[in-house]
Amino acid sequence: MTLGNDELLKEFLAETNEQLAGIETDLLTIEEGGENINEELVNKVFRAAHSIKGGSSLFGLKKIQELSHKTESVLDLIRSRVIRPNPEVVNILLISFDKLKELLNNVMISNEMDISENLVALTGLATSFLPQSEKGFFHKQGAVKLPAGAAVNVNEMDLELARKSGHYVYFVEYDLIHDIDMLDKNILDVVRLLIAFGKVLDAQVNTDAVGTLEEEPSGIIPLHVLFSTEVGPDEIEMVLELPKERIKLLASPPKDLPAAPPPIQIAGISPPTAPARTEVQPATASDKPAETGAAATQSPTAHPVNTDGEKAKRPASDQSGPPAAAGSVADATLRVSVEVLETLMNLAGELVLSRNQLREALSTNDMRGVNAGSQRVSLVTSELQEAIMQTRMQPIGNVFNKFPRVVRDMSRTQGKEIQLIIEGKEVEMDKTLIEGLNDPLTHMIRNSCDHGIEMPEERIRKGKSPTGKVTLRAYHEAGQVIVEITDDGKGINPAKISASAVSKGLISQEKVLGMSDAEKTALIFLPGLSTAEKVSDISGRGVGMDVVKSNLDRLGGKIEIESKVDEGTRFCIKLPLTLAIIPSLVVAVGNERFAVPQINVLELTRIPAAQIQNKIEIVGDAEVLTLRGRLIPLVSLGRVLGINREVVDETTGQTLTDRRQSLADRRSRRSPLLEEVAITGQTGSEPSAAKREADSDRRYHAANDLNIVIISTGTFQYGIVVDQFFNTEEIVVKPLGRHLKGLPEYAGATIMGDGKVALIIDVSGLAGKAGMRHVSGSSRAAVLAAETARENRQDSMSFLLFQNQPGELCGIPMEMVLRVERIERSQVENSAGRRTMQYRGASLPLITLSDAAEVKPIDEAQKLAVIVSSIGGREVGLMVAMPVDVIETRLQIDQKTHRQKGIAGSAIVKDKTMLLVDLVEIVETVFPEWQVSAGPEKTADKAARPLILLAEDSDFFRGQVKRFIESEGFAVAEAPDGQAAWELLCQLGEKVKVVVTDIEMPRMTGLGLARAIRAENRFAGLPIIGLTSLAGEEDIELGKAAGITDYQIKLDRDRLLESLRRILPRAAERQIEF
Amino acid sequence: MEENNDEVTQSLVATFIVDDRHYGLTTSRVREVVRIGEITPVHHSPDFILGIMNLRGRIVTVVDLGRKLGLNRQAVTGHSRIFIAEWQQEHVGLLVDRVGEVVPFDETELRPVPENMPAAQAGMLHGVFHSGKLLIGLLNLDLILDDAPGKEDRQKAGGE
Repeated sequence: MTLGNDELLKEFLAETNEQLAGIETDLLTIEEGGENINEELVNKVFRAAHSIKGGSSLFGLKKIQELSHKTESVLDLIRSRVIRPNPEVVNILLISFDKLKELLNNVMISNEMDISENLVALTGLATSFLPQSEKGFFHKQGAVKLPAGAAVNVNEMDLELARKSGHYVYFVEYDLIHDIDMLDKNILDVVRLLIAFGKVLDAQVNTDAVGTLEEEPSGIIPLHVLFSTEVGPDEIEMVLELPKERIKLLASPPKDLPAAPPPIQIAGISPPTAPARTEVQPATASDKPAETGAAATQSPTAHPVNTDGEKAKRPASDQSGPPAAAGSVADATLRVSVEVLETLMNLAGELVLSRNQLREALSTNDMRGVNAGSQRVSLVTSELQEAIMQTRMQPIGNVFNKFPRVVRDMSRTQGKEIQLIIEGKEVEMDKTLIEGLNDPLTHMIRNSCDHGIEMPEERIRKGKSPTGKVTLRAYHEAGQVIVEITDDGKGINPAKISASAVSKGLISQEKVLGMSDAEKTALIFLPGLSTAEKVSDISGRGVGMDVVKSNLDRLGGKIEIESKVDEGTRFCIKLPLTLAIIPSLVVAVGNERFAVPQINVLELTRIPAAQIQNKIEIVGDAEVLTLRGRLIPLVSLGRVLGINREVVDETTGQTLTDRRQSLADRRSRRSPLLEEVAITGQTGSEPSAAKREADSDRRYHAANDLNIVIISTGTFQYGIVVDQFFNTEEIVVKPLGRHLKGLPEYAGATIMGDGKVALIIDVSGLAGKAGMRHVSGSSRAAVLAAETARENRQDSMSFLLFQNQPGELCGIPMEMVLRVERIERSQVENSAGRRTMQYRGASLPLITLSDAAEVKPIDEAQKLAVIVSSIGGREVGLMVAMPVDVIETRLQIDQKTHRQKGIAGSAIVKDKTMLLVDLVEIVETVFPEWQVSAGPEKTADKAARPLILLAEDSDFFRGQVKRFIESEGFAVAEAPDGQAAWELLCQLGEKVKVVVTDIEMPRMTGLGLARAIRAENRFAGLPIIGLTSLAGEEDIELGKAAGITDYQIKLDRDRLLESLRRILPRAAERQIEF
Repeated sequence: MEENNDEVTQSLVATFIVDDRHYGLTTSRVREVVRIGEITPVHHSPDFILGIMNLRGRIVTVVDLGRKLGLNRQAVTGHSRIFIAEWQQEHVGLLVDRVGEVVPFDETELRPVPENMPAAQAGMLHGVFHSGKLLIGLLNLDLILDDAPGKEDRQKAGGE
């Protein structure tokens, strides 16, 4: 017993820690289940409490034992459905387990800690649910006669419960010296055995029996156990491996079983081994009791475990100090499955074997042997590496599991309704990373609950569900582990954050003015900033997010925020794989190699020299690559890092000198990529031109091709221009030294196969270094990105694609389409030379493209569809051949090549020519009597026709819209952009009755035009109709604010005309007033 | 001067030459001295960082000691060596022009830095002492490798 007692305690603590790990989740699940008790789960929690009780009693941890015992009793009552696990009950249990953890973490001083509050709560709980008659049980002690000198206590309640569940209750006496220590067992084995067969009601080491120094050593350390089990008296001695005289039956199940005879009677025949044991007794045990006895005299009653002198003394001496190391033992050790350990052992053996082979081969100069040996070593090494990594990997669920409790507690105390959704528990990470994540995550979850989620009433007022949602998600992306915390709460108000930062003097007002919202939001990471108006005890102490950030920084992680007021906040933590081995693409610039994590690499592109000028464009100051319709910003790795492209001498001295120069040279190398690459050797104005010429020549002479690695950072894409690509290799990521850790462009370094060092590129960091950080509002790349986005948005329209003849691709704008119906040929009726079909209880006129345009008639043998559209207030169906498709695209419309009646123009879609069908014109041709267009002739005098100013940058759209409007009897003045429109308006003055303008235009946008108009008094009442291809609510709001009267979708002819008609009478009135 | 136990008691000092000047480091801080292998430059690093090298599987940052001391740059020759020093649980390499002898050193022999020594050097020294006829500057490793953010920023800014 004295041997390795500390080890045992450690083992016990490690085991309990494991058992307690999942308890919270289990209890919460039990709470959720309510009446439907999940017995398995309750049993699991019960067993945890139970084994803690068992173990603690053996170590004399009184308080832990008492508390776990009471907790166990309540759980037992839940199991037997006496107590309903409502939130109050679960709360008390959770608090009890918390306390247990606290006691276990401070195991050395646990006996001095106060647990009375918890005991009262638990006892109160147990008794309140019991029927009146049984209430006494819980407290009644010693109702059963125990053998004299027994150290255990028993209450009626336990006995009764045991009996009711068909258990026998025994009083068992172990001798720690002879039954356990000398048989090479340990006390935990005994506990495990007991628990396997039943339930330990109480267990105590009988310290009185050990005696004191003055007395003769008794030679035994009795352990008394009150044991409840289904095992009958006949078998019990076999199970427990104890002689019968040490087992005493106290109670039997109340069945018709014959009353079990008192075990003492049966114990007449002692097992033959017993005497032998007695003989050994004095010899080996002689010094131990003396030792323990000495300890016992020092503190005879306070510490029941006196079996170990060392242990008995410790609590006394440690009382003032911090808890002893044993408390943190569990954290300092790592549990590794035996299987993994076996693998490691095997591999270690293999490695030794391979080394021997290699040595042998080397000594005999056997090259084949060397090859084979080295192959084997490499194989074994990678396996070994993998196995070792495995021992460190743990599921992130180990951290996540505690959050349901955190959220539950917070929602209870704050009166909020919060649902926590956890995803990706199984994502594995290095143990140290997982541990390091604990604090920051806890803080952020608390923040989300405290500051993010609103009170239920507030949420209802905002039209959200009263239950707030917090999502915790872990996943792998781009070679990183990403942990996201999302809430649908009130979000972060950037203005509030920046105001708070300014008022606290953390940042200047001027600086704030130049910041984007994202940058303002990011101010929450400033130390000393807390926006909570009221400081609560949960969060908002002003030490929040900055600590989170610094914690994550230490782990090498990054944090990003996205937030929208009243919609919620998303925190995104990116953790690097500092300990991992990652496949990486090796690239070179000059003679320097770099590794780019493969996971970030989307594709590799080589642009032949001849195509460089076509494919690479300059927007502002930035080079972009057009790749399959996407604009990809380019970064030259050499330029960003300032690498001297000169060939470096292999002699090391030369190398170093050259590199020095390159650093200095860097400032003068401002030439854009294009110049560097395309105009080979043509620059001559700069002083270093001659050298550069030679440089460029050497580098690009052979092919002048441009090698580009297309990178995805997870949020955006860009291209890295390099000199050369190499293979993809598995590289070991090694951290950089302290002086270099702060450089964002490197994720670390690695040692290549030839022993040289290569830097690993951090793709986000490099983008930032190249000025592409999309969060920094002022950087050129952000401008570029915005421009790209706008270009994409501009005139991006949906088209319905169909075929007239096979291969003859046609399209009409989606806005014109009401429905698409598949029809059978038999549905088409021919009457009076016109085709119709029965459709929704009416006759739908049918037209085909060939009715107006000079195209081949539709092949009616094909599968047909009808595109239903509304022209001039009437529905009409265009017969087309299947299949139909929808695309959204930005089109370059050619109005000349294919222009004819019924076809407005053409455009290139998916490398094919699409004919843009003009439905209105077809209808006009087929049904002239419909008088779709009012026609200019309708209005008497051309001069009297109201003038409409139309601003639109796309020729196609301008032409189309102009036609609509003119057909309605209006005169149109056209302008290709906002600026031109404004100039024209100033010229025409009050002749203009309505302004119809596109929103996205060069030089001056529609919004700018509207603002300009509103700023002039004389145009105060001039109606402005905004034309847009997408009218989001936000856009409409913006437009209204700028002074736009009405919004219409481009090419929605009917509605635009309706809007004009609605507005114009008013415009006419206005004129009269003037 | 900063008190540092292992550098002020009776000890051994490994001496070396940078730009024809003699300096020394207490041997307790020096792990080993290696020949110059392949040094990978780290662009954008502070300018006194020469690069990184592979020391038996460990990435070691190499500091250009001459640069740090504000001396003239010397070409790397066959005599150049890298002192691997221990600093904050990290190995850092210091490039020197030539290795000198290991000499005994008694703290009582330590003299204050001469007043006319340039600040860039004076700030990096514990003091100076005589070993035979040579006057040796005893380097303060912690000051040389100080990576306090403010300082590094300044150096970075200067380097770019």
